[in-house]
Amino acid sequence: MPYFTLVNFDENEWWVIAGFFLLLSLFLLVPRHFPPVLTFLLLLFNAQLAISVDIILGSSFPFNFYDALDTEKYEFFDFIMDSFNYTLIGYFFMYCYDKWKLRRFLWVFHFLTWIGLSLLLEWISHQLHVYHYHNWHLGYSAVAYFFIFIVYIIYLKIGKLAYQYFRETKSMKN
Amino acid sequence: MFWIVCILIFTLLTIFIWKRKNLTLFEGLAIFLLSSTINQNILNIVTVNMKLIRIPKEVNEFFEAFVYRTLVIPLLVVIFLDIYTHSKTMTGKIIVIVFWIILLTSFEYIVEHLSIFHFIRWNIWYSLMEWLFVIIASLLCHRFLYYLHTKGSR
Repeated sequence: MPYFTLVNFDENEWWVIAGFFLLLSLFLLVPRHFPPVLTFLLLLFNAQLAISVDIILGSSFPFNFYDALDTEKYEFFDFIMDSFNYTLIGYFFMYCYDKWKLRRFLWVFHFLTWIGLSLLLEWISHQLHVYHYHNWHLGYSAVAYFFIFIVYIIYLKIGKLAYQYFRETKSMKN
Repeated sequence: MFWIVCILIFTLLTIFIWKRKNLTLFEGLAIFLLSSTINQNILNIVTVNMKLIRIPKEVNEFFEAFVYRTLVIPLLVVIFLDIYTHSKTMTGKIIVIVFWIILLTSFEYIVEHLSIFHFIRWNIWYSLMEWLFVIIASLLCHRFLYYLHTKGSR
């Protein structure tokens, strides 16, 4: 009755670990743009979205479009991927979107670049057996990423509005 | 059953938005998201890995269970935190915690009775431990938000 499973420790786990350390290093290195408390909220948004999408599309309940890593079970490195890797990728998208404040053509270019980058990372992950598709392919992922990045933008706007209200109304007691 | 879950969400949202006493929407959002993320991780572990609970594989039933876990429970946790921060005495706070753990556990058994979940080797102690964990995590998260807001820096 294992809480988390770990079948083999091979190239897919190494890919997840490498991604985790690379993204974490970037997160620590890039200059701060959002206030820390807003950064925390945005990371929570992204983690919640990542695990929701993973449960709906990838878990063995109704759809099971793909399995991640070595089995259909929820592995420890699934948890790392959902809670950190995807979370940080989403954060960097929001970071660039908000920092550069692009308009029109550049906005579309930035949006498409992130979809392309995500597809490239997913293709590499697929080659390294991180994902095992069942009735799924990268074309569907492109559509999924399109909607996910739209949701990121909506999350960012909601988060910033809520933070503004929080900062203005909440006293510093507690 | 789907409508029961929708009405529940609508009622809880109305209670939080109109009757909240202490929490801002920002704090509510953060606690909601944390609780939802923890719930989904626990759901995956107890259903897929440990097989203590079974979720129906039909799409409608799956979404009822999913929405219950990702929206209804986190909203209840947010309302808990609002009432908890409003109560001034330690006794009051402990009563709120105990009441809410019993409430969340009762909800879980009602939901099982409505066939949204099917318990296989689940027992009441797992529920009590799970909700105690979620409530402690939400309290720590609330503290952490204030730490980040006042002193925190990356």
